[in-house]
Amino acid sequence: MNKIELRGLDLTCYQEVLSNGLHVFMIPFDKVNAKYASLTTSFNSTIVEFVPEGKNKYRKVPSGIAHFLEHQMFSQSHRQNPMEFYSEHSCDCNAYTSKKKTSYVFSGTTFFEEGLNFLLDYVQDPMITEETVQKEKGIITEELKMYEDKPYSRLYDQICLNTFHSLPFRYPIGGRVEDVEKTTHDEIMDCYYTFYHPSNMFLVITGNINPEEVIEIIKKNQEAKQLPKLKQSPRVKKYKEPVTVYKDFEKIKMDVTVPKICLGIKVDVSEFNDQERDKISYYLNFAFWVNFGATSDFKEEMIKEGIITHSMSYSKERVEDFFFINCVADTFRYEELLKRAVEKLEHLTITEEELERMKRVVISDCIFESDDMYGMNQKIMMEYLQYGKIVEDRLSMIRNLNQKEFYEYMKRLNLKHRSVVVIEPIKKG
Amino acid sequence: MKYYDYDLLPFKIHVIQTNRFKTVSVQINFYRKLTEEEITKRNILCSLLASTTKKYPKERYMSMKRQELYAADFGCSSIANINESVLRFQSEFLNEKYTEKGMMKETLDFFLSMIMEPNVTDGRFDEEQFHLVKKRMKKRILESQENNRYIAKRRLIETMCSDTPLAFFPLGNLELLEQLSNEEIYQYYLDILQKDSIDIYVCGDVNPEEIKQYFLENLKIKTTKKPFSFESILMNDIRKRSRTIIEKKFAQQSNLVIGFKIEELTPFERDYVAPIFSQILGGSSNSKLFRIIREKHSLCYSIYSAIYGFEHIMLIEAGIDAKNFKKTLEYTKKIFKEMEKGKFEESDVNNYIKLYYHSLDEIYDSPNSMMNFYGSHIRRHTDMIDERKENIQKVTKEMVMKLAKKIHLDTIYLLEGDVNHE
Repeated sequence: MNKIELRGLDLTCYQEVLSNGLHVFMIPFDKVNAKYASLTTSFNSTIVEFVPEGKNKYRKVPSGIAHFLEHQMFSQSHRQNPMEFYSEHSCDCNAYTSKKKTSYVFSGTTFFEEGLNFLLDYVQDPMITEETVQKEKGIITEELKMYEDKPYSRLYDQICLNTFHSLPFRYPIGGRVEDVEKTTHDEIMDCYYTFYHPSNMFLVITGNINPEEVIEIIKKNQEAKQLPKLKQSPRVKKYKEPVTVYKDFEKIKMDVTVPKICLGIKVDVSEFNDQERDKISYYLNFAFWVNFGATSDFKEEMIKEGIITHSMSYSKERVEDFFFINCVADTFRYEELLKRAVEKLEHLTITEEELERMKRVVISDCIFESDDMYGMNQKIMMEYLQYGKIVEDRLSMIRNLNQKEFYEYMKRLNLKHRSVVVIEPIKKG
Repeated sequence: MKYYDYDLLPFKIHVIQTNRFKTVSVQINFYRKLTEEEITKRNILCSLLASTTKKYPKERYMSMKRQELYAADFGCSSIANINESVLRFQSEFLNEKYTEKGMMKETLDFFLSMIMEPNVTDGRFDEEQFHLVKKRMKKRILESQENNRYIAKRRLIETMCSDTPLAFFPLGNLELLEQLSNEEIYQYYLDILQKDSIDIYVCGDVNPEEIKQYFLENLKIKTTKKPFSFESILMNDIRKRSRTIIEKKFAQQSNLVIGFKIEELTPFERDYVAPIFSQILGGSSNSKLFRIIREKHSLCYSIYSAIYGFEHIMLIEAGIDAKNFKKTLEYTKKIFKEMEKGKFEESDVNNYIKLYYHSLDEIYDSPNSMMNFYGSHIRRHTDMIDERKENIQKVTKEMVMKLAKKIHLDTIYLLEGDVNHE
């Protein structure tokens, strides 16, 4: 087993690749009682066209299918239902689909071996039928409607749709109701056989565990199964995505009391390598925190002028060769806010002192996070998906960030490709 | 892990000493009896104290200081908690081992200054800040009307529990908010320092004596408080027939909340039997409600039940399509009846006992759950973890059936989603 010390965090990550291709990562936390395991495939909501296992032509599938498949994994008429199994074994179980991955998780303080074996068994051998697919449609439709009634969720879905032209990232994770309606059993099975093979999955386990014992449990489980080797590694359709946004402005009406605005910024980073993108990721965060966040003049001025009451929220995602930034605020005067924010975007600054303070914040956050076995599990998943490996010494990388480099990178980034979505109250009476 | 309790008269300190965490967590709770008009005052005060201090008179200075203190977390929340109103100041920061020597004192000093050194001149809070806080509260009250699930739950509770403190709107009253003056809030602040009961909880790898000494020297509150005790809320007027309320709103989905009143529970029923009952009925993805209404009939995505033992109510919540309202209600009533008749397995009871037992071990895994659990023991005299492990094993199927007879359907509320409704 490979051992990686996560420097500065008092944690060790154990790593092994099994003969069937399954990657395993484990981080023991001696001082907690619980254990948490996640089994993840990189199959996600943005994969909607691929060459199915055993075939040679691309197949298009309805959007939302990754999420549909996740729901179907809980159909297990030939064995106990996962909800029932974990509940009987005093554990919690769940599953998540995102634009990066699909994960199946369970946690608990006891029956870990049973739980882990069951996780591998139910994900590697589900019982999906025409009937289970039909039955799930009503449930998923209600789930989608629930999100449609949430203003911030609508805002996010719309900004994704309007920022990107062709990347399926633009569609909501669960797809649209009409996509769910037309999803077939055959399409779901193609997704399953192509992306749920052990060589396309990985297991992350954190908590009160002994890695030597746990790896034996996993090996025994996997060696007992005769899963066919994949004939080919999955081929996913590539898209040409322009650097511009698809639509630069849109207004939606909803039953809200305070209008909401989302400013999406599409930043092309195709010219930078992975290491550079990592640094840019931090510098962009710093730039937005310092210039728009809780410590900024901008926030203070906007509040003083009565335009906003809280600072704009900021988030950033990596989408292929882009960083996709979202700034969200609720305000009755969105036009003014937008005008001022755009002016500010032209002059993003950072002082030496601010940069050092930001470094202190992110280093501290890494330590806070290292105390949380759920957070660390998630972090390992995201790192593996992003880099194909675990970052050993993140803290040193952060310590080396500096003001000169900040300005060099910021000069090379174009923050002018922007899209705006506004939610306005429906007219009353 | 060790517990240390100090009664210093003006306040009590409870230290949970443990080396499990890289952080130190602190809660300072101010308590008094909950009244409707004070909710608004307390909410304003809470936001004011947390936003600026005399030494850091602007929000951005406060934020910078927090960042300098190694991203320490600070906050204040005003909580309407059954019959008590709690003003909770809390902080979590990295243990000095991970930062620098002296940081604990510096962080606690800053934390206490939020309570002891408010941004006040001549008996008034900073005027600009005062107006900003009011504006934020107003917006928060308005925005609560954007969350349909919240609206449905509030309307149900306001109807079903109209004669209890549960009906008080926790975000405050808009009219009162407009009227309250700066001076009144400052007087209220002085009143709180003088009259509220105060409990302090600290959890982390700390020296309890040092903690005690620190608060004695720095939390300069000298008045001895009359003890104020926590009480459950009892439901009178058990209805013979339930009532149904349907309102419409512009939305895709409809939110259904079904309210039950519960006859007075013994502490054993409340802490042990009720959780098992609720788990079997609708507490998880393996519950009867979930399996039958979602999995078998595909009527919803989410459905769950929760028993609020101190409040003596039970709520079942579901997000459904309006056309499925009658069916969902029918099945829910039927499933509930089955609980009374004992149509569930002995093994279900035993499995949930096991789940309850093992979940207790997870309480040790987070400082917040430790402090909240210990806080409930101190304030509400609920059992500690070892006692709970013993007691939960005494629950039987008969007890669960008997409990079902104490639970009575009262009010059904549907917030009907209608995309043509304006």
